Amino acid sequence: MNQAPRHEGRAARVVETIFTILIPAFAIWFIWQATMVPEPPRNVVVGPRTFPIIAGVLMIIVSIPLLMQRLRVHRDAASGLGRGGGDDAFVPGEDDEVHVGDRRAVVVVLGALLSLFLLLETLGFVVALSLFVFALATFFSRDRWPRNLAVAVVFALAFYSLFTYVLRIRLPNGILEGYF
Amino acid sequence: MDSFTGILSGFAVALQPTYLLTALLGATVGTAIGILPGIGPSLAISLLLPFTFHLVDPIGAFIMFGGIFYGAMYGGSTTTILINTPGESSSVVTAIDGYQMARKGRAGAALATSAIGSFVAGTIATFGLMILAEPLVEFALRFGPAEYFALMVLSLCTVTAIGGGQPWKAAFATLLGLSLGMVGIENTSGQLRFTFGVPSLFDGIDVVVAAIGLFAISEVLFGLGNLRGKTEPRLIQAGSLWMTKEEWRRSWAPWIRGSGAGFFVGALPGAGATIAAFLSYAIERNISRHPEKFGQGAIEGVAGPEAANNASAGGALVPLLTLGIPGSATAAVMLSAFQGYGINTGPLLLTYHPELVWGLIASLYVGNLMLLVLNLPLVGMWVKLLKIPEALLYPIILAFSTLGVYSLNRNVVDLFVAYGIGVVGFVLRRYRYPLAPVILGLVLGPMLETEFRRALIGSRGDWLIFVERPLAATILGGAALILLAPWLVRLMTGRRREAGVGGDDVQRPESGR
Repeated sequence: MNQAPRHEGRAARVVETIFTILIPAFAIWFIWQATMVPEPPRNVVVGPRTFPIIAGVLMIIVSIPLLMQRLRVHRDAASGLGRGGGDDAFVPGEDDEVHVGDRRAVVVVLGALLSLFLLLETLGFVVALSLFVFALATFFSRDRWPRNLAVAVVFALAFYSLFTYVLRIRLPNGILEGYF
Repeated sequence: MDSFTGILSGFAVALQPTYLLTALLGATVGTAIGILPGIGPSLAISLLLPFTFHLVDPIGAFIMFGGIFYGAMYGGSTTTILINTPGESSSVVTAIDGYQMARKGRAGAALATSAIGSFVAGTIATFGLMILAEPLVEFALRFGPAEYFALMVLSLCTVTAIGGGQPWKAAFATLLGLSLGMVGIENTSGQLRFTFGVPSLFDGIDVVVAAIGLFAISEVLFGLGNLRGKTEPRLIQAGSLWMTKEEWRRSWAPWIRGSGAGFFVGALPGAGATIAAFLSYAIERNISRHPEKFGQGAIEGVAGPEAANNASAGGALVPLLTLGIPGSATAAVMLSAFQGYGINTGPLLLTYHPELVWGLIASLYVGNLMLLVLNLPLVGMWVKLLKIPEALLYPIILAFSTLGVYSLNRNVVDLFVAYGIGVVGFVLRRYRYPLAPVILGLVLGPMLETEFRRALIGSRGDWLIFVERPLAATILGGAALILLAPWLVRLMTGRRREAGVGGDDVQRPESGR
């Protein structure tokens, strides 16, 4: 827990700043979308636009100190000051898991999950979930593939049966439709 | 019905075999998720909602959720003490002295003081909930829309000011949650907002979908993203669970103080278990005659915070059951479960569903006893859970989440919504934006807007209604004060900090995992 503050590289700093710039951009888009909501014909005190607009304006206000924080970080980095982070020091952040050591892993997980969602109804739950659990687990522990395969198939079959026969929630079973 | 007859009827419900079984199931699941790092009570309840809707009645469901909520607080300390990784964010502070105790061969005593302290705290908090429920409901029946609006604003301000540690980032998280809550058919006028013609969005974004996206998907991305190059955690043997006479003597006062502080913090809308634990740690260190021993295995630093995080779970149920206002991410998910069962929350919950409220309270006493047995003599069994390889655990969490989200509406669109929210949650957490306020904002948003407009319809458009009603004005004033509190604190402590006394911060981010 008491690690020395990590110094972030220039690229990481820029990415975080881009994210922070997206906040007011999102707020403006949100307000613009809110103004397109049709007002109901009756003359009401507060229409459906009011609340989203208030939220959007507050978001823009909040983004100002956030952007100023980023500005300070860049200035400190440029002048070689090691203050880093630029975060409000009132409370220490939970440092243990806000960093990602292995970016490829994140891309793989996101890709695997997206493929699962896209193929879920075509392949059916049993096949899609087995493949997903097996593939992802094996990517991270290559030498244990027989164990991963067994766990994946048992998991998918067990939960498919649980949903279908106990909870009576019909799940699409794609290519296995008709078998069970 | 007073509290006494209420709780008697509650026990008549809770002691029925079916409900005893659901309580045991909840306690078991709760302990398991407490022990597994990365899964918190709010995610566990979200994942189980699809099951409970189909399997048990609302009473059974809430008895189970109560067990999960309390159980997660018990289980979190085991992981923290034995492998120095917090099982829950609410156990972060326990790691400081708990792991030191374990290294000195007192792991068993640390586990014992956590479990017994959790039991004491859970019992005290449940008692507090029992005696406060009735009078608070009486009081709340006088609330109008303006008061409810003010209370929800207070809740959102609390989570912004102290829940996240970084007020501006927490403020954005809250506003993001509010804006997500605006998607769908708007309550009062029936207009569609932010649906972009997608029919699945007409009913708004389901809290379960958002919670699974925010907590499950982002958690797995961090978990697997840091898996490579990670050393196997060294598990310390628990050893004998015996506490010496000296350790008992030093534990009981922190248990009581932690229970009090935890219950109070938990009952505050917007502040949760993590803050309760940190507050208790700070109290213990400040009143200790040997503050230098903190950080080197002081049993008070384990007993107090572990009691406090348990008591805060009981405290969090107070505003949820009496006012229908959730104070934490877990309570927010429970509120959406009430809505899913078609139960109207608010002060009338006790009038219309006394068997649910009293049954839940009674079962918390019972569940607490079960948890003590599950966690103390059987701790060796739970430790085995830590041996599940993460490479397998995380994909299974995602597969389970997929089942949970899909079965809600049997709709793939919900999965893509969860995916999008998960990616946003990952980015937010990466840059230290707290996630719990997003869930709280999402749940409170629609309620906030409805009460706001009801108040204005009642006052015929006079915005002064929020300051003319003394109670509403007082609550809103409190909310403003809480928002300003961090600045006030900094003004007062600024000089001390510069002199090098800083670093003993009390609050920690409530990540709501």
